[in-house]
Amino acid sequence: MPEEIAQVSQESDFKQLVADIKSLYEVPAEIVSKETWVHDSEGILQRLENRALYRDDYAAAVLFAEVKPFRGEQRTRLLAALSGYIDENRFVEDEDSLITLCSAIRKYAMNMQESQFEGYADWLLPTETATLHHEAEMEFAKGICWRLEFEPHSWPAQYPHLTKTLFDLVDSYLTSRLILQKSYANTAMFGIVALHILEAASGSRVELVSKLREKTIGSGVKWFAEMVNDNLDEAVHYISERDEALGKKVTEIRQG
Amino acid sequence: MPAQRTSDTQPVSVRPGHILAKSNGVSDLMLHAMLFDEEKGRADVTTITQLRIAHMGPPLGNATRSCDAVGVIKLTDEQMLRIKNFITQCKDATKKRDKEYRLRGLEATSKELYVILPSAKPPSGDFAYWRFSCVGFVLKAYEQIPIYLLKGPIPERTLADLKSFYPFFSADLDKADTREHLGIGTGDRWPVELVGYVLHSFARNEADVIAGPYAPQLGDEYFPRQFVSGGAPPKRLFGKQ
Repeated sequence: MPEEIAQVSQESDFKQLVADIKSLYEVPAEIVSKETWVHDSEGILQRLENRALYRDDYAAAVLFAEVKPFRGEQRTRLLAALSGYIDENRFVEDEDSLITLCSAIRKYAMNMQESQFEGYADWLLPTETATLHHEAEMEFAKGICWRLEFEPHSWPAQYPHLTKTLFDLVDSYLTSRLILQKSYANTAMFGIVALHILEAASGSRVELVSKLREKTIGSGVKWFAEMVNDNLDEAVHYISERDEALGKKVTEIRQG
Repeated sequence: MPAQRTSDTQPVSVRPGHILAKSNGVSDLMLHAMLFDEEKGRADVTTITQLRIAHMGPPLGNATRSCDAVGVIKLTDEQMLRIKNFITQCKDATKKRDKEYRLRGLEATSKELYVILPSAKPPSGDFAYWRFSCVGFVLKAYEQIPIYLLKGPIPERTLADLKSFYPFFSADLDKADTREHLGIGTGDRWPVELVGYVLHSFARNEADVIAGPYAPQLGDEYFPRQFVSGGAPPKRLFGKQ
């Protein structure tokens, strides 16, 4: 075979080979167009309820759920599915899995019912052999803080397990040695703000907040105390917009 | 003056938490606001210096960008730490979600968490994030320390104006549902906080920046100010064309 013809033939073979390999990995257009479930709450829910899904596909459904509204019965199903996911994955450590876990935590926290507050606290607890990654821990603290700050909840109501768990968490980080490390300052700050709202909503003084206030001042980390105060200002502002009486209660708790 | 344009030849200094801005590349119209997010300060910042920044792109997160202007005041170590803490709080799954959209042959929608009005919108059950514009992200960061950079009345802008301020969203701004999502669903003029306003807030003496917010005026979308509104041709060309 002349060299020129051989070269053309090789190029042609190569192109065919590339096309064959691409066809193995590329999803045909008619199938791609069916992936509209990502924009549909019901489609996402059906995926989240299918625990047999390949792990990455399940994680994708968690991510897509985060930016979609779920109402009524759909919200109940969403919470059940996310609860299972968080239960199984709360101790993950790799960055990729943490992004999905934190996405699930945020969505769950902002949608959960008041009856689920106490169960949420269990996720903050370490086991004898595993503890939460600091980013997941911050997301749990942020989640309950924002749920109480930005979404309505009835009161007076007491959540002793959640209150005690958050107190222990914050108390353990309120030392100048730890507060500068990892996400601990944010975790402690969200916990303190959440505890102010929980105490205000409880209808009775449990004095945990005043203990933390003393410890915050005693830690000698002035910027942290200021950060807590500024975030409490913001919490009072947003709570007062929807529930003036609760906003006043939080202010009273702050003033001791 | 704490705000200035960068140049190709005279380097300026920035420290972590300082505000950076990007122009449209052909005029003094400022289009994007960012926070300098490196571990240490730098004294070599020109128009082409690549810097690690934190911003609401979208998506929210870190990136490497150059800047055409800086807003700089003396920040204490504690203030820098608080801004850094704020950046850490703003966790976001948008990049990963966009990757999933692309894997499925669907258009990435990193604008899901972007909002124009208000420039910062609190989290809710539907969106469990603070949603920001690029300006809102920067303003919120400075509220942490606490420095309030802007106050009303904010000049009202037309849709044509907004298309020039948000050229990457220009086509989206014609869609009713997208405009609704961005917070400009009804009406024909909106008090939108713009990047140039933030720079003009910094273009006061440092004590004034710390003491109180700045009320922007028409033309402040340009830095330096021009007495034309968005949509009109720029009076002066700047930077590479």
